[in-house]
Amino acid sequence: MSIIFGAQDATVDYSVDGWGHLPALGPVSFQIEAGQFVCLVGPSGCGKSTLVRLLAGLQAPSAGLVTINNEPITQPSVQVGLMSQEANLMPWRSVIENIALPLELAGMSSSERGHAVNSILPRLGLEEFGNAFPGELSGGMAQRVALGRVLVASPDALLLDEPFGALDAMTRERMGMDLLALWTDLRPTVLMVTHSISEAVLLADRVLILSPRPGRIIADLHIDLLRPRQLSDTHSLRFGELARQVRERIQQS
Amino acid sequence: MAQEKPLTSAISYTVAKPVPSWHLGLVLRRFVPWITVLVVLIVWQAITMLQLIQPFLIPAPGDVLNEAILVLQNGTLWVHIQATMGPVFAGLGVGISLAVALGYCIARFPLLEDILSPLIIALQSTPVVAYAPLLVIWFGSGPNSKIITSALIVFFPMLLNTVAGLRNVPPGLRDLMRSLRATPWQTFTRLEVPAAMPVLMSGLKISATLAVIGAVVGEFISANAGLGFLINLARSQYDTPLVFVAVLTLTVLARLLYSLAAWLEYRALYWQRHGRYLPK
Repeated sequence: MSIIFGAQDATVDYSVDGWGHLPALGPVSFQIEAGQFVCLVGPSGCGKSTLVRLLAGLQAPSAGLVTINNEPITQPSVQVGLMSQEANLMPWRSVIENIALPLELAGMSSSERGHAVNSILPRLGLEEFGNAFPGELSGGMAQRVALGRVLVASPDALLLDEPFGALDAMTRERMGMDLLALWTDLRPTVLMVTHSISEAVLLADRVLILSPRPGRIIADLHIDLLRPRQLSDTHSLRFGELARQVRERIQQS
Repeated sequence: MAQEKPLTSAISYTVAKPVPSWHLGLVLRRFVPWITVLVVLIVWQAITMLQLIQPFLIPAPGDVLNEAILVLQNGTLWVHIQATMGPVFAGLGVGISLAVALGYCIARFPLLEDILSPLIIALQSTPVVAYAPLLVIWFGSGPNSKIITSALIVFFPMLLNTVAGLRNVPPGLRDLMRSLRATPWQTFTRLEVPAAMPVLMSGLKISATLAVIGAVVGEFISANAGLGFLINLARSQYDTPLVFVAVLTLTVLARLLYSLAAWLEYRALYWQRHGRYLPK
């Protein structure tokens, strides 16, 4: 099943005691087509993470509507994989057990889980680290485990909240390209929050730009770079032009 | 910054090489605690041999040993050990299970904390020794009052640790479980229990020694058996060697119980022990 994300005038206000209302997001309206790779950029504190939480079903909008396939989101969906800046691994579980968690919660038998995890480990470059514990992993490897935990459930959509935000530049580039390869194979719908303009332009079909808090969509840029894309594309003229456009829109806001 | 670093710090870096485990210093360090024990015994023996203190105040180590052998052989010590340790284990079991159950409810429903806090604070602030006589009046001088004093003294540290442990579950992991549609039971067994385990285990170590204190307090007030009872009895007869035997037995038992708790902690927190993982 494919997944289409939608939002109609979705708004989030936080009520702060003795302060009144603090508008955090929106209203925002958009639609993300099935299989599309969309990046969301904007100044910090503009509500990007809040928007991800809405689509993940972890939080309800104060007003307006968020939808999956035109149905209002009322709770998290197992078809939507969520990954954030923190790997959020369980330190008491080995790499294999962490990746298998979604299958375990879904009631899959332990032999089937083992099979599913072992087939995914090589793709993540983790085949030698299956029995390691999270405390022994580098930041990049921990993020790979988190990505494995998302992919093992074969989700139809990925919500990625700055997934590589805490990584060094080199690891970040490699992880981005790995993600792109996975997306090319499996074609999930992707909404990815990022701070990096070049990451957004390199990976996405579309870049949504949010204004400062409360975040509103101020630009929706189509990225017409050819696929498959490579790191060397970042040196192309067209790439530079698109990155400049994104930067200008952010600065105008 | 780097260039301004004084030369001495560079030297200390080169000195801090990994030390092989057979290194003489490390071997010595393992024996140091036993040397302390030996020195204490020698000083004790010297004091009694030089008759610096009256023997009925501090008996000679040999007299204490003879007394210990005597009560071990005629079986009295064993009877009193059982009379104390039975209630200690029962008190630990009752105190810990009630504290963990109530702690879970409090962590889950903060309103419960507001409702119960006057009672909890009052009971926690009052020394158990102070109201132990009441417990003896209510529950008799048998094992029940000992179990209850022991359970009460264990209850509060365990309750606080349970609440702290459950409140320290990382919010990111809670979101993860929600996004994976985990049931409340799955969240409890796969997230809350293991996440709270380090704090629960340090609570268990504290409780292990407190439980012995609780039982002995109960025995001091009124009892017809147990090591606390034995101490009272021997004291009334000025049988100081027997007092020493009973006290040292309590020392050993409490220490063994603590070691048992520490071993359980070691087993439960296996994941904290892993160093750097080396692929085969």
